[in-house]
Amino acid sequence: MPEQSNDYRVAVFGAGGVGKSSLVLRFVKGTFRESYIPTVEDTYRQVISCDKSICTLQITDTTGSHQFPAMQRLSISKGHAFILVYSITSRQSLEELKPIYEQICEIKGDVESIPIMLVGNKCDESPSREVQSSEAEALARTWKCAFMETSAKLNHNVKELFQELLNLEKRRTVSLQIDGKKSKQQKRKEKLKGKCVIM
Amino acid sequence: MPFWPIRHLKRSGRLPRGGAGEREKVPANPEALLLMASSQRDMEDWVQAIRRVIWAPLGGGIFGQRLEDTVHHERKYGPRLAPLLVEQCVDFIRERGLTEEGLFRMPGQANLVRDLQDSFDCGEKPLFDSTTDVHTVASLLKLYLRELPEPVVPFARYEDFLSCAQLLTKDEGEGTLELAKQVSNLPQANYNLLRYICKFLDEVQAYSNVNKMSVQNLATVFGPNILRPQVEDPVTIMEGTSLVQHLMTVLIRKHGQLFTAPAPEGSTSPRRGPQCAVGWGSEEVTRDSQGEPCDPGLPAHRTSSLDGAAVAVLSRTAPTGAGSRCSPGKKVQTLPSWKSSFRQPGSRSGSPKGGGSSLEVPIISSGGNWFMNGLSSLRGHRRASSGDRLKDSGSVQRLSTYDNVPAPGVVPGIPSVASMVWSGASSSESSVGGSLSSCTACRASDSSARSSLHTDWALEPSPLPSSSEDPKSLDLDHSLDEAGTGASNSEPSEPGSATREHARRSEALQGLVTELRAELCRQRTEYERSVKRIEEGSADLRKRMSQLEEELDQEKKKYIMLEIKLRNSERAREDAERRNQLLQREMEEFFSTLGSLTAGAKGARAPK
Repeated sequence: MPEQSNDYRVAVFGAGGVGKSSLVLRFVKGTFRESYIPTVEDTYRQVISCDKSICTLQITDTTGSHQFPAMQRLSISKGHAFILVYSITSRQSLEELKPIYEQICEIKGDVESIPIMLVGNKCDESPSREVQSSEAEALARTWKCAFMETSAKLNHNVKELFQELLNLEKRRTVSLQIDGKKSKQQKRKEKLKGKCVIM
Repeated sequence: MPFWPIRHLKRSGRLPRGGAGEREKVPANPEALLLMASSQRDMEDWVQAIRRVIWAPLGGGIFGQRLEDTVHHERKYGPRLAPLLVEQCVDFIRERGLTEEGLFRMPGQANLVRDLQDSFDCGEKPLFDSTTDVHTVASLLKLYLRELPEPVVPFARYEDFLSCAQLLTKDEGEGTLELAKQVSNLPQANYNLLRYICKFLDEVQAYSNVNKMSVQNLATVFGPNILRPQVEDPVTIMEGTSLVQHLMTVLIRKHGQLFTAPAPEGSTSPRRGPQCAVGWGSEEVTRDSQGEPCDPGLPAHRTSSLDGAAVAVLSRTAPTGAGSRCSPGKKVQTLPSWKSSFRQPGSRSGSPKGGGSSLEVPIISSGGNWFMNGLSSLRGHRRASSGDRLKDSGSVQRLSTYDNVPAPGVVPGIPSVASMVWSGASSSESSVGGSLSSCTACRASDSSARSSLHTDWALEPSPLPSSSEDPKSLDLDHSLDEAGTGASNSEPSEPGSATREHARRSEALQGLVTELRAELCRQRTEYERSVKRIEEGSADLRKRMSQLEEELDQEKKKYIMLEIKLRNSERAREDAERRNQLLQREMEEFFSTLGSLTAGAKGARAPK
């Protein structure tokens, strides 16, 4: 596959049961399942636009319940952007992200240029909230990454999450809209129109 | 920079885990020592190694310690099924956590887990109380299993277990049988622990409607802790995951059927047998080589086996309880000839021939395993040395001699043949088969042979390590007597017993023939299996190919669609441009008319 080379790879990390798979499935398939199945590792692909052409967005849904250090290292070293998911109902799940973030720093070196999203999932369960969003925001600031609260169940902020992640990518222009070209054309058209209207 | 002071090695209770915060807690001490590692991981390795050395005698250093050593050490607290730590975790979870959602899936509190690990490592026996989080204990348990230098299913068995899983997916009944066989072939300590865990996970699973951890879920999160490949290569891991999960599912679900051995008490007795076998084997070879002095390229091997005999005798006579946790291993390790026969493939492949009779059985795969073992031991500097592995080989021995093919391992093959023949086992063939392959049917005779070895042993007057020849002759003597073959001479170390030698040889040859036959069978099945595996792989690849092609097709379609869109928009643009031009022209006209108008007006005004 020709796109393989310019894949844009996103890896999703987080402790077990925080909803990594749910987020990814909500985004990719638009569905939500109540089932409770730990993931070993899954990869999903989607077509997005990148630098005026299309490329594949490859989302790797990793395992949270047990670590394969080798797998984790591989996912990090191959990934272009990272989503770090915790559950707002579990402080522990936020703690679990720290070693992962550190490992990303260790492997990637300069983290500032790498899109990272800190995501508090399950924001529909705010009655049993353990992590205040202000807290996570503070953490995101120290990590120099973006932060968002989502709910895969209610489809809240899920698409936004991925769009925002891609917006963070500064080295190339990636966008969820495949028809990025068309929109540019339209803009130009509108510009032209605008010009005409002035007269 | 990861460094830490170990000035408190002697006085303060524990080593810090390396955190900067903890460093300050360390009491000032004139005997300060500062170590510096090049990376965090190195540092942790060092700390653990040091810790193990310091605390192991006190019952600490549990994490990363060989399972066998832990079990051995804890035996003094009475017979156990699993290491104390495992039992404690399991008891706690059983009491408080069975209904916890996501048990074994959710993370525990990392720092608490670490604290608990530290205390266990320092030989403390921390108690869990009502404030302890169940997930923390569950994480601790998983951590312990992960940290074992060799997983519950040893590296050497990983492939065997995976092929079991493959068989299971095809033929459930057959696979279960095979799996039961594989399970029963595990070293005693591993067998006990695996049984214990599977039984417990079955209990956990019984509450799956509350804790949401079905058998499959438990298998997913637990499997990799119990079955993992030696080389943590992502590809290998990914290839194995589904099989590991499936296998684990079966292990949990059918634990009652798979673990059939009567509940064992401690792991002493089964492990004794094999050690005895090692002694025997080596002695036998010495004897053989005396009989057939024309062994090419053997001398190194021979001496090594001699040494081995001495070592085995030593380890046998050494008092087991007196904290000599790894004494046999260490002793062996000091013998360079052993090591060389471990590491050099050349010497390995050479030695079997020299050994005579049963030795032409180097199985490629198990040889590889051995080599891997060697590698792993080299790799884990803090872990067992290759010498230590020998003990492994000993304990594995009892079931299938050929799991440990290389020189020192193979050697014991003879004794089992010989001893069986001499103890008058009715069908030497079947017993040879038993010792050869792990065919369950023959196991009985094998074990009987083992027990006869045992009795020999009991009768044996405490042997002197210096003369390795002596105990052997005594052994032979006894077994002969027991067999009641009558025609034995009273002094077997005498070289004049030619007829007996002859009979023994012919019997050994017979044994060799049967062994070879069995070996051929085994190889054939192995090849068949690998062929099947390859076929499967290719089918898989083909499937993936077609999938990829499909994807490619789709992409192409998408591309075409996009092209059309592009064309459309291009056209639209042209359209717009045309309109634009039109407008411009109109504008020009407008301006020109405007100009002419103003000009006209000016002209009109001018005349005024």
